[in-house]
Amino acid sequence: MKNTIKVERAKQNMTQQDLAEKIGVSRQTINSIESQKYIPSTVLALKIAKIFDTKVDEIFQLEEDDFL
Amino acid sequence: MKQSQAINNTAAFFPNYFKKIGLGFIFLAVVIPLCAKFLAFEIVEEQKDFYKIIFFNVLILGLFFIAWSKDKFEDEMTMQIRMKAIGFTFMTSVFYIIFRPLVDLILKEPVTQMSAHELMMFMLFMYIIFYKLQKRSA
Repeated sequence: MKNTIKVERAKQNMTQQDLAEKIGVSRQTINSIESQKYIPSTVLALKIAKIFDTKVDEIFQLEEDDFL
Repeated sequence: MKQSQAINNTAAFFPNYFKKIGLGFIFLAVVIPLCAKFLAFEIVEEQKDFYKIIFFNVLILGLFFIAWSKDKFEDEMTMQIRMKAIGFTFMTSVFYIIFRPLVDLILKEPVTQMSAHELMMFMLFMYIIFYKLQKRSA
């Protein structure tokens, strides 16, 4: 599953640490989500979408591999 | 930082300061027997096994405190890493129990029954090592 968190952060001039503090996780977790090593829970995905004032499926998109 | 229950579901773990208590227990379990040996402290032969069990218990308790205490920052990813580490520990323990007697046979050493202390220490070590490695690579 790919995501556009890095792009959204850049748009809002926000660091990984800033985002991490806003949603109550560690900076390492944000880094892992951005590098697609970790898939966040629904709650966390919704929180991220809310911070960027957008919909979850605009930030997280399924890839072909996810349907296998 | 205050976290929602959905993200920080780590109530079953000890607080972070238990890591230091655990290190203290391990230090005691290693240093006291060493001191007793170097100072030629006389222990009655019948009590040797009793002291051995006591020190192994303290060592296991120390390892358990380190393994089962929260990190400075816990979130859902650390919980997932913990679950992976527990799974890996369970799997390696099964292999350890099966293959250790074979290693004894290959090395032509007497095959002995594995003690609960040995298995528990192996499991705690594996959990701590795998958790640290996973967290570093995350």
